[in-house]
Amino acid sequence: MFKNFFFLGLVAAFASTFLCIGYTEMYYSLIVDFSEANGILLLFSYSLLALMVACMLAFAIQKAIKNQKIAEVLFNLLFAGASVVGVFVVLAAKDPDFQTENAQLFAEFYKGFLMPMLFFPFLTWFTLKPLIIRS
Amino acid sequence: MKAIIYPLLAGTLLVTSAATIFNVNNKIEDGYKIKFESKDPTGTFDVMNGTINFDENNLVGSSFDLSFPISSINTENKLRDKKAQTSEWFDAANYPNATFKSSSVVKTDKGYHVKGTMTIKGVSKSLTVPMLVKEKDGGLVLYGGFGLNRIDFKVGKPNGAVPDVMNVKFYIPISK
Repeated sequence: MFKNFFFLGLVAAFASTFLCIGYTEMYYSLIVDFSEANGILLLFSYSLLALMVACMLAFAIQKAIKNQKIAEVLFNLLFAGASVVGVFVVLAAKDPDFQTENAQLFAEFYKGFLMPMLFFPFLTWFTLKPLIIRS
Repeated sequence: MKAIIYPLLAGTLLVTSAATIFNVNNKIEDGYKIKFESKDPTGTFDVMNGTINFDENNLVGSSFDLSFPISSINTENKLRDKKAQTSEWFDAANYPNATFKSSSVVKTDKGYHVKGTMTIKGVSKSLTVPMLVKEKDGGLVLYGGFGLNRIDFKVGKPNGAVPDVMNVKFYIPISK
């Protein structure tokens, strides 16, 4: 069972990274380039960290709670809640010391730029779940 | 056996990704050298403490927070080393460490500029340290040199037998 959750986490991490790359490239070309603070490795690491925690949590909850429906609702609530908490973490965090002039000029956009990406792991997990985990 | 492969893999990926995000410090390897040179004297700081986070792909997250115990000054002359500890020179009793804390790391044509604050004898000055990087034995070596005017930090008296400007050279092997 853990194997399925693990593969779901891994595939979702790749999908989330591709989404992040697409989103960041579009943002950089349309608004401002923050690439100095968000390398591909970092984007992948964020997705992987979130989704490996998710796969462990999903497995642990399913083992601990016999009622499948309650287990699923609890996991979904926790995953959605963690994504929302991520917004507050980003809001409270200090902006990086940007080196490029453009990034310095538009530094106040940085937190808003990060927000959508906080939900990519959540979205890819639930989009791919029906393909990998059979109810 | 098969049952633990996937949890193990998940744990490894979790730790690796967390280490990348939280920019775990590079380990400062043995063999580092912090040398100061002038016509006379020349010597080393034998001990360097602190942390280095250096990632060529994440300069925004890179940082240096280093301290150099004054007691580790070694000019290969014990009398002179003892004199360096006195209040006229480094005043080691009140200011036991020289420190450098970076504020930013910037890429240049040849290498990097580490900008930060150097504090010696309680006096803090902004400093830009030019730094080169090379790969060695699977790790990195950070090296370079810069001039440091001891009078700016009230170390010794100006225009004495010891030159005002000391050339500082560093060679620091770190893990990747």
